[in-house]
Amino acid sequence: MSIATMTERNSDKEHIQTLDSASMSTSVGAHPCRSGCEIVEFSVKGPVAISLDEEEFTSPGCSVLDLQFSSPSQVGELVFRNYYTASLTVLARFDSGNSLQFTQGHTAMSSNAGTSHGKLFVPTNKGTGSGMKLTEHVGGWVVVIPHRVLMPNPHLENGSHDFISVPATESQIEWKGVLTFRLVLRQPSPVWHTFHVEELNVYRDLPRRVPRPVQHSNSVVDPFHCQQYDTLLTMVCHQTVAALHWVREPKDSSTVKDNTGPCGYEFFSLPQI
Amino acid sequence: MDDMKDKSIHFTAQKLTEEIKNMPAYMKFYSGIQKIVSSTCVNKYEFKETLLQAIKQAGIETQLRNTVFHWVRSHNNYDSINGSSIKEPLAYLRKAQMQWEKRIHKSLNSMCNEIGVPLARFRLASEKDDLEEKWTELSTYDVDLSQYRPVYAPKDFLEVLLCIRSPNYRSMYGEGDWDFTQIPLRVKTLTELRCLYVELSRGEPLLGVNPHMPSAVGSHPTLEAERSVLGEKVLASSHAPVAQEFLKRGCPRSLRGRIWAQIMGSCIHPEHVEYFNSLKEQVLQYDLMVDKLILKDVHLTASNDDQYFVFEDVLYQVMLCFSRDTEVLSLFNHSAGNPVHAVLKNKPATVENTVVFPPSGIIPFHGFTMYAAPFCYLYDNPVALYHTFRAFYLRYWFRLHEVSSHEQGLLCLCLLFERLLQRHEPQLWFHFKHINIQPVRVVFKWLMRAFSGHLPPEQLLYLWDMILAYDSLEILPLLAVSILSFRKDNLLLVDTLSSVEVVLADLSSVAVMTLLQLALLHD
Repeated sequence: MSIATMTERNSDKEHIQTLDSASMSTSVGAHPCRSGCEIVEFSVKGPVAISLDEEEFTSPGCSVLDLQFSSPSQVGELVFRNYYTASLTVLARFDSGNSLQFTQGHTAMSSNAGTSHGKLFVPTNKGTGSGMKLTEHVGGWVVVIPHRVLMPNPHLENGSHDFISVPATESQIEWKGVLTFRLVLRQPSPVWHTFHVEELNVYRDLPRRVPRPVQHSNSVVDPFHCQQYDTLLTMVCHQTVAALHWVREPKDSSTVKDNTGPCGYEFFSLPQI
Repeated sequence: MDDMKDKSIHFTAQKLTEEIKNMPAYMKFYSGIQKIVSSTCVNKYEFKETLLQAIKQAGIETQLRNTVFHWVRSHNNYDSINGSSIKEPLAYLRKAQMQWEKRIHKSLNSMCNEIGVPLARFRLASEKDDLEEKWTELSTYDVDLSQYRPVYAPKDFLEVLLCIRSPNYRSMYGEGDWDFTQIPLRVKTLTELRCLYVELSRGEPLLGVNPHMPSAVGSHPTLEAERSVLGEKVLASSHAPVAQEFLKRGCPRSLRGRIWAQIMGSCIHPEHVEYFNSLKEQVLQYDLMVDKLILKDVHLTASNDDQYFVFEDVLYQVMLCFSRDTEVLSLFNHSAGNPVHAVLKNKPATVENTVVFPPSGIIPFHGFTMYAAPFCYLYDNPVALYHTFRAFYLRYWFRLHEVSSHEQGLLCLCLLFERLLQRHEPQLWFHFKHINIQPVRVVFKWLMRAFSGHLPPEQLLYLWDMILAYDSLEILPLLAVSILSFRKDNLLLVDTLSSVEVVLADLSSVAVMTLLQLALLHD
C-alpha cells in the first residue's frame, strides 16, 4: 500500500492524530471527537437512582441523568459509550420560545386544571395515515425518544459496552432550542452491580449520511493501541514487508554503516514490556 | 423503510464498486470486458442487452458474483459500526487477551535469551543452500530442536479462559467457580441450532451417514453416485454460493478439494503459485526462531500421528511459508488479538522501526500444525493446500485461540458446550459435578483443534464440510456433547479425570454425521 493511499485514508478519518515519532504517547483517556463537528457544551447532573423502596437490596433498575445546556441550542446528535444500560428513554425540555410548535393542532386541558399538565396533539414525523399522536407534556418535559434498546437481552453481556449514537432523526420532535436533556437509563436485570453511560458528547450537526466510524479509546494502556488502529496496523505491516524484501547493497569498502536507512528483518529479542 | 433499505443498498453498492477497483482481479475483469466489447457478440445498437448476455456467456458474470459473495462474507464476518470493523467490545476480555499476549511475549523473550539465538536474522549461506536442496523433503533437514519447547499448549489457554470474570456481574453464591457461566454471553439453544442446521434436523439423506443407501432421485444406484454427478455440475457452474449449498448434504471425496476451494475463493491461478514461491524465498532468506518452533510442532504432532505422518514434508513447507505471509495480518483488523511487535536491530525504538514478529503475526502453539494437516488429504499440490488452509484460518481457525466475545469464538463455544450438556444431559452433568471434574476440561482440546487429530480423517472432513457449509463453528460443541452422550454409560461408571480421558481417548469408531443428525432431529 503506497504512502499516498495512506495519507488519503488519514484525511478521510475525521479525527486527525499525528503519530509522534519521538514518543509513543497514546491518546488514552481523550474523548473521541470529530473535527469539523461542533460540540455543544453541557453540564451533567446525575445519575440519580430512582426507586420506590426505602431499602435497597439490589441496585435500582432506573436512573436519571440530566444534561443541562448553557443556552438553548440546536442538537444533531448525542453519542455515548454504554456500560450495562439495557434501555434508554430521552426526555427534553425546550426553550419556551419554541412552545409555538406545540400549539399546532388542538390543545385540550385535562381535568387536573391545577397542574401544568396538558395534553397536546402533535403531528407525528412518521406520516402514517392518521397523523396525530398524543404527547405527554409534564412539567415542561417532552418524550423525544420513547424507548431505545441498548442491550437486546438485559441479562447477557451483548451490547453492554457498545458505542451508541442517537441522531436527532430518531426523535419525535425536532431538537431545536433544547434547554436540557434527561436520559432515563433502565437496567431491569439484577445480575449487574451498576449501570451507567460514559463519554457523553453532544454534537450540533447531524451525523453524516454514511457515518464515519468514531473509534473508541481503549481503556488499557498499551503503546501499540491508538484510535487509528487500522492505520497503525497497516503501517507496521508495510514496514514488515519492506524489511523482509530489503536487499543488501553490495558492500563498498568506503561506505560507513548507515543507521538511519532501511535494513533487513533482523532483531535479537522483543522489546521489554 | 424501503426507501432507507434502497439507500443502504445503494451505499453498499458504491462501497463495493470502490473496493473491487482496488482488487488485483480488477484488471482482468476490465480487460475481459474490453475483449468482449470489441468482439462480434456485442451489438452497438442493443449495447446493454448484448453486452450483458456476452458477459454471462463468457463466465465473467459468475466471477463477478463470486467476488461479491466473498466480499459480503468477509464484511459480515465481524461486527461493524458504520462500516468499519471493531475489535473486542468488552473491556475485561480485551484486558484478558492483552495479559495473555504479554505472557507469550515474555515467554518468547526468555526462550531466546536462554538459548542465545536471535529471533530473526539473515540465514547463513550454507544453511540456505542446504534448506533449498531439501525443500521437498524437509523431514531430512537436520537441526537440533531439543532446547525449544512450544510457547503454549491448549491447557494453558484453558486456564486463562477459566480465570476470566466479568467485573460487573453479580454471581449467585457458588456459581461461577465451576464453569463458564460467570461470563454471560449469548449462545444458541438447541432449538436455534436446529433452525441453523436445517438439513440435518429435517432428517435429509446425508452422504456422511450412509453413502451406499439407494438414491431417491433419478437413476443413480446409490446416494454417492447421485451426489457425485450433482457435484460435477456444481463445479462446472463455478459459483461459490451454489457450492456452499451443495456441501450441506455432504461431499464425495473426489470433489471435496475443489468444492472447498471454490467456496473459500482459493482456486489456484499463476499469481498464487508466484506468491507461494515468494514466501518460500522469505523462508530461505531469513532464519526465525519461529521456524524451530514450527519444526518442533510438526515433529511432535503430525509426524507422530498414524494418519498424517506421510504428509510431514508438505506440512513443513506449508507451515513455514504461513509464518512469512503478511497478508494474514489483515485478520487483526477484526480479531480480538494483536500481533507481537519487535524493533529492528540497531535502530531507535520508534514506531517507524516497528515490525511484526513473525511476519504473519501468529505465534504457533502446540498442535497448531493440526489445523493444516487434514488438508493434505484433499490436495497434493502444496500451493493449493496452502491457499485453502490460509483461507480457512483467516475465516475460522483464528477464533479458536483468542479471548473474544464473538459468538463463534472459543469462549462462546465452551459456553455453548456447557449449556447444551447441562440442559440435555443433566445426568451426565451431575455426575461430573459429583466427581468434581469440569466437563469443559475433557473436551477443550477437541474444540481448540476443531477435532483435528482426534477424529479419523474421513469423519473429520465430514465435520469440516459442515463448518464450511453452514459457515459456523457451532457444530464443534454440538458434536462434543453428542460424543459424551454416546459414551454416557461408560462415563457414568468412572470417577477420575484420567479414566474419563481413557473412555474418550479413542474416537475412531465415532460416526460424526450420524451423531449430529441424532442430536438435531426433532424429538
